[in-house]
Amino acid sequence: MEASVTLKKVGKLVKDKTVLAGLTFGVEKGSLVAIVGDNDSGKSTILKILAGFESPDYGQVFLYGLDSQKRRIEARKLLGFVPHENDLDPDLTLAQNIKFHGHLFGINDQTIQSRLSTYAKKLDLELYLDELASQVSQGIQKRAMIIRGLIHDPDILILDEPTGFMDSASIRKTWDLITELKKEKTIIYASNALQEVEQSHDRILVLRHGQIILDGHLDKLLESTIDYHQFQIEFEELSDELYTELSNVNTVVSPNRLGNIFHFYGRARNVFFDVLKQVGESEMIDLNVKKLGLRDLLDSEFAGDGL
Amino acid sequence: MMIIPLLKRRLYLWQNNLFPLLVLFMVFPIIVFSLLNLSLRHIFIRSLSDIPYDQWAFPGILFILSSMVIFPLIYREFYHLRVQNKILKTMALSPYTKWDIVISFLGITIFETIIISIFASVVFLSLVSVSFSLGQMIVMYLFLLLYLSILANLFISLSLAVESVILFFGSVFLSFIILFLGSGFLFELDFFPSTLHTLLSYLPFALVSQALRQALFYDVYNVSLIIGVIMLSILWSLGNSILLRKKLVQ
Repeated sequence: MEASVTLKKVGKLVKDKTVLAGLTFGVEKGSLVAIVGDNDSGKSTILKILAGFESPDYGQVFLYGLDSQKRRIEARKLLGFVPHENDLDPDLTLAQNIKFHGHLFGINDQTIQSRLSTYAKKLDLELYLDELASQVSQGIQKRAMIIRGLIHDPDILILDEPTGFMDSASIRKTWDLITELKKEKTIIYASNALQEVEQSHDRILVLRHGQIILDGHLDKLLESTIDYHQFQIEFEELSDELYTELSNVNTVVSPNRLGNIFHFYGRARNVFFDVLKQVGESEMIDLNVKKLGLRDLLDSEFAGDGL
Repeated sequence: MMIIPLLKRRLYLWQNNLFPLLVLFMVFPIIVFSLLNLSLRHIFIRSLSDIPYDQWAFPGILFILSSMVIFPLIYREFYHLRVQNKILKTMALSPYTKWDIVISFLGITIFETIIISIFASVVFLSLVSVSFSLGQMIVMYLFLLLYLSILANLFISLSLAVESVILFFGSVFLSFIILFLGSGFLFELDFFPSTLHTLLSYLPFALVSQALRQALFYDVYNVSLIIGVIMLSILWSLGNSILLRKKLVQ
């Protein structure tokens, strides 16, 4: 498939700190790509660089084959960007903010009005369009920012925390719209809402310290961890000695405790029996076994070791 | 160019605050005129070149008022919306060069300031018995255009270069003091000691002020100065577009 976005050894430094370390990857046209990672992992920076919001210190970004630095003006017409922070003009209404953005891209009034009505209906924003941006909640501002990002009909939409500050109904409508748009646009977003990411992606990039440590569809990423199970055993009393003893079981991976709950991972189900052998007389209250998900992939120790 | 979208945006802003803005721009020239002209006319009476003070000071007061009108417009776009809301950064993602952005903002703010200044002139002229021909008024506005093109560039540079609020407003107030008292708007620079006079008379704002009065009262046009100011304004705008790119890291 045709690549709509290509990064070649893109790096970003802030003072002496490496925020992005020579990233190279491509995004296929019409795909929905999620970028996840811990705070300060470089998620927002990568989006800002893709959107032209910031320039990389080295490397190149190509949008549909256009070098985003050398052919900046053409490249910008291809992009819609929705930043994490509210950047609407507080003295303009939501509709005026969106229209102004459309005018900046040379879109005529009729087209702007038509797109504004369509998207406002889909995101349930019609009632707020004539409100000043400074007088509506952050969730409503975010929905307006999404419409603003779409008003010039970009081929590539970049969203930083697309459902940030939104209530559950708005989150659902926003994902409905994004999923619908996916058919015709390339959408790249960063989010900390991992449940939403699990449900809405073609591909997930996991970032850590400015580097991609995992890349693929969630099912594929979990393939390497499919044998892993997450166990949780709650004891009547989990003494330090018992905790140490259980942690030292050879087949137990990444043990930790929360009060009287012993939490660990194991490559096979029978690890549980290895642990049980060590439990002895201690009374167990509850047991929980869970399939690994995106949250577990992001567990820093696991992700760092590449599972 | 970005001028049409920016013009529409300014109209939106006017529309959203129409009543308070109209009241402000009605009251503003009256207050400026009352506090400056009505007091100073009793001190100076006639200029050193023997022109009635009201007549001599009129362009200067108009320039002062225009300076105060253009400042909040530039401040809003290049300082407040850059530092507080990051709007300028998002706006800069539109398909325009930084030069386009600077020039378009300059054009729009100067246009709006001149419209307000024309309104202020009507208020001034109804309050004081001075007479200028239509030709003289046009000359005055052409010089005002030159003056605003360098003043707006100065404010853009300050708005982009300074991050700290205290430093920013400190620099702006200092600029206003130099403009109001050291540019020959309210009284002639000959009142200063000779060294300071020489120094101040080379400030671009003072050069425009002197050239305007030469044109208005003696029909002498300093063409090289006019070309020099236009060149300065263009070069300064270029400098500001480079500064904008550096500040936005784009």
